[in-house]
Amino acid sequence: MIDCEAMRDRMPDVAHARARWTDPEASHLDACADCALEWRIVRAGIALEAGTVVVTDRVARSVTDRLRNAGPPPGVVGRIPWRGVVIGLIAAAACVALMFWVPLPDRAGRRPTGDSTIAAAMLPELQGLDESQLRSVLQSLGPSPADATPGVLPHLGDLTDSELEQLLRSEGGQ
Amino acid sequence: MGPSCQEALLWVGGQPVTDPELVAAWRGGDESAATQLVHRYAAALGRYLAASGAASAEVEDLVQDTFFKAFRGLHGWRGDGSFRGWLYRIAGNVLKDRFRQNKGRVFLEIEEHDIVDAADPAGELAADEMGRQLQAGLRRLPRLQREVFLLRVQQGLDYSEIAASLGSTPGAARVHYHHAVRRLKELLA
Repeated sequence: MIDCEAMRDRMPDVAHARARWTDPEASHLDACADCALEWRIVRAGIALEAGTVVVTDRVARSVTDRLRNAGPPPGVVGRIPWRGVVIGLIAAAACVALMFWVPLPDRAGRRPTGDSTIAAAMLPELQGLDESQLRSVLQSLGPSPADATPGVLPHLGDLTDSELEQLLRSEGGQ
Repeated sequence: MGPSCQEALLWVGGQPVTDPELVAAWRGGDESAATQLVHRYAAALGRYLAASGAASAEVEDLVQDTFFKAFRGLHGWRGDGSFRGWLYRIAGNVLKDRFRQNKGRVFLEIEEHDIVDAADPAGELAADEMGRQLQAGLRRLPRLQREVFLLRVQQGLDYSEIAASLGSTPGAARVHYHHAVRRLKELLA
């Protein structure tokens, strides 16, 4: 029993004279209209564009001339994706810059204020100053945010009667 | 059919010169090795490009581009695969680039010289007719099926070479070929 699919696989090889039909295959080809049509298609396919003219000497000459004039082929360096490398370097530089410019949070998760950042940056210079010079520096910085907040309220027991009465009035809206 | 049979086409001093040997020679600075490879495959490449839709006036130029790019890009060819399959892959890309440049020129021109000569007038007429029908049928196939059919039938590549050429597997190439033949049979019946 001849398999038509196997015939189809072998047709190009037989048509290119790299293989030959066996006797049973040749008989099948005569009897099977399907395979006979495929065989005609394959033989026509081999002949497709048989008249195409390519002057191989001319092509060879042109190719070797072009290769000579083109210089060395692109090597490993030429194949490195430079754009990607440059983008990676820029990204790395940006990360390093951010690490210096944006202070990291402390253990409690609080970010240092601008003043402490400035102070940290000034530390080496401050070490060389005497006490009076340090005082003048502190005055020039002005009051810290902590100084601006109200102090701790005195204990109620420390208030006089009149102060206590005044406080109760203010809290009660009277 | 193994690559050793297909590639040992030229003989020097009684010894076959294979494609990898010629490639190695060219890499070593032997310009004549490139010339030999061009002589070996230029005509077949020209027929393949013409059957794939290249205008006859452009075929030689495309063949030249294919070889130029092949030699310039030899670092991309793994010596374990077929040089011929790799060459057809480049040819396909060169043709696609040309189609893009030409903004989708008409596919598959039919010219008088396209049809094979036959010894007897009746046979010639039949061959003409079948050739025309086949070209018309090829035009209606999906691109991959058309390429596989041409590589298998017109160029005589085996499935592994076709797979290497199209970046596929031999099994997939075989399936595409069977689909192409069945579809052509429907169109030509």
